[in-house]
Amino acid sequence: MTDIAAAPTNVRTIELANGAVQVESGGSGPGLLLLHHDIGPIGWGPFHRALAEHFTVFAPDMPGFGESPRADWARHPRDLATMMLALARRAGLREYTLVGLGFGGWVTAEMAAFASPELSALVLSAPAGMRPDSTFILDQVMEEPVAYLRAGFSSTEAFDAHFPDAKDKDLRVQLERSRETIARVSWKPYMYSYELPETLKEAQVPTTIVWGEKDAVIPSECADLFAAALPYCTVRRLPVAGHYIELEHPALLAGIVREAFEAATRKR
Amino acid sequence: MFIGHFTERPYQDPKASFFGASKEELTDLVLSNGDYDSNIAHDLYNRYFDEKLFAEQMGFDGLMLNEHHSTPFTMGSVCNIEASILARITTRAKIVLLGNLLAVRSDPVFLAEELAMIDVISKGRLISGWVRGTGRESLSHNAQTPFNWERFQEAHDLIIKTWTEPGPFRWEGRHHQLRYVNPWAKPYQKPHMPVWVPGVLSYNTLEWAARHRYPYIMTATDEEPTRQCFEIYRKIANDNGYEAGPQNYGYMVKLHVDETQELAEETAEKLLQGPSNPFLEGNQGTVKPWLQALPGLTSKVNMLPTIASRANLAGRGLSTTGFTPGSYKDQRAKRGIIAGTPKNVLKELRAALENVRPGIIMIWDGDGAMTHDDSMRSLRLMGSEVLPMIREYAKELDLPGPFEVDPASGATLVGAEASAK
Repeated sequence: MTDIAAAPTNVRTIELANGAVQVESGGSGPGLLLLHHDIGPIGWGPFHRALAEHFTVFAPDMPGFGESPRADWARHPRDLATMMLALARRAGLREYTLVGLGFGGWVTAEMAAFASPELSALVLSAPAGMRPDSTFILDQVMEEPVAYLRAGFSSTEAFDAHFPDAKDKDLRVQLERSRETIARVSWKPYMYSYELPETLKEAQVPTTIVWGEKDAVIPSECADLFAAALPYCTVRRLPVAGHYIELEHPALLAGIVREAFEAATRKR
Repeated sequence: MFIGHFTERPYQDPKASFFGASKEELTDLVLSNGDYDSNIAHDLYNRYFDEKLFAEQMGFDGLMLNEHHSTPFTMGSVCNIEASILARITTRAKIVLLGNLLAVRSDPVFLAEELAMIDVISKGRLISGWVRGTGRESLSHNAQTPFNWERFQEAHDLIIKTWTEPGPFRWEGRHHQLRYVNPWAKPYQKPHMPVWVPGVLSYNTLEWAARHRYPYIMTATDEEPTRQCFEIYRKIANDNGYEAGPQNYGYMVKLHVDETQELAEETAEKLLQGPSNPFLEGNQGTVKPWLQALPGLTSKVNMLPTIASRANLAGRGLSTTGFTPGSYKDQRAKRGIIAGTPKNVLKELRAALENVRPGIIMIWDGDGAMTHDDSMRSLRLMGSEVLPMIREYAKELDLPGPFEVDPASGATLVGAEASAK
């Protein structure tokens, strides 16, 4: 797994009325909420550290992932979005930058549809949530869990560098737990919503969509679908990146987030 | 003693890549139905009906059907269709469904109607079993696996209400909501047909069956863990205010009888040589574990003593390899397969009955690569020499079936009451 940051972070559990959420936070500067992929949180890594140089980063384990208990009642990413909005409010975040990775991008998009006035900028890295027109989102139910994880990298070498021990029991347990949570909230339609293209039309927040052109998990054609729905949207395509842009290109993605924040601030 | 006959009704195409004895691993859940030959299937469906009819003639009390989906090892992927036909073409034997996929069917009321119709057409000969299904079933019909157990229980409650209470009524459950429940067909048997529950590994299912006083049928499990599971059932029954006995316990055994010991052994070995079947220990079938053990489908911590069997785990995707271990020889040694002349199989059967003490025994035969002739020879010898002796043993060993002693109350059933049960 990715190494743990040397810089101190704060790990705490925030008790919401409908579930507890563990949050790791660190850095300084404007507030930023970061939501992880469907594989679950994989630690405070280079991407977090790069963000923490400019932001106060809050990285929760969404309910049912990592160290956060499952919200048994949740049936849709929108349910997780309501919890993440509540979490941000409890954490005191105001006009914050919201960053979502993959499945976490879908949750953040749902948040933006509900509460865009609370956000200063939205950055979606290869978000789920849109139904691609010409192909399919890779179905993790049909994939061996580690093979699914591997599919998110641009190359086998990149996967091996990040996960040298794919047989690690803790990793497998985490993937299994994450897989079950996904099965509870996104069984069908799998990883997309027919409503999101409509609800996003009122997400009045400057948005940057980032997509790796080697993404084998969520087709990059979905970038255009998000762009068509979101009123203020910029698309950045990265020719060499896979699905896990933050793992393979942490500084690059962190730079894009910072640019998005600065551009949004200038426009205000 | 209730004696049933079972086969998976395999799709037998010796030319197919998934047909056994190839010494190759045969991975289930990747096969394409592009290999399906409807002419072969036509002949096989009708062959299996002929065998069920003959089993009834030979004195079997029950004709057991199951269902599995998207696989050649069970052709009866909608067992209610086969049960409907049996309801019309048989006259005496019970039709035992083990069973319908409560958690996978999207509308339990449809299921309640189908089963009520079969019960009426058969004049009250249906035994309705419920199963949760393995990964293949959820996958084949896209049933959301983390809610399998919740859906199972709610569907059960809805169906029982549909069968037993006058409609119309409204149902507002967590997983099912229906505005108007009032199917015209109601069960022939009152208050409803007997319910049996098969199982292998899940403690939850056994516990649920025991609480509901439903007979629990262990399918293809080793003798000792089966006995231990029945003991768990007995304790749960005690905790719930009743005394369980053999009438509550079912045991499935692979049994082939033939004219000589050599022919019996040679033929019984074909059990393991048909289409890839990961539920058939020693068969070369493998599964992709992550497809059989879909996320949240079953509790991996709340398991029965049958967890000791690697074959049980593999078939359900709970081993890392998905390969079903075991050999014909291994299974012969532990009486997982019993094969021989009537005289020889009876010795082994007697020992199994003494050890496991079931009131229901399901005889699994005519499967894998066995031919129609193989099945018919065995059925004939069972009828003439084996079944009568099993009934004698059951009397000697005090192993009443659920039509002799009521599984719910322990009361002895006599006359019309027994036949109606």
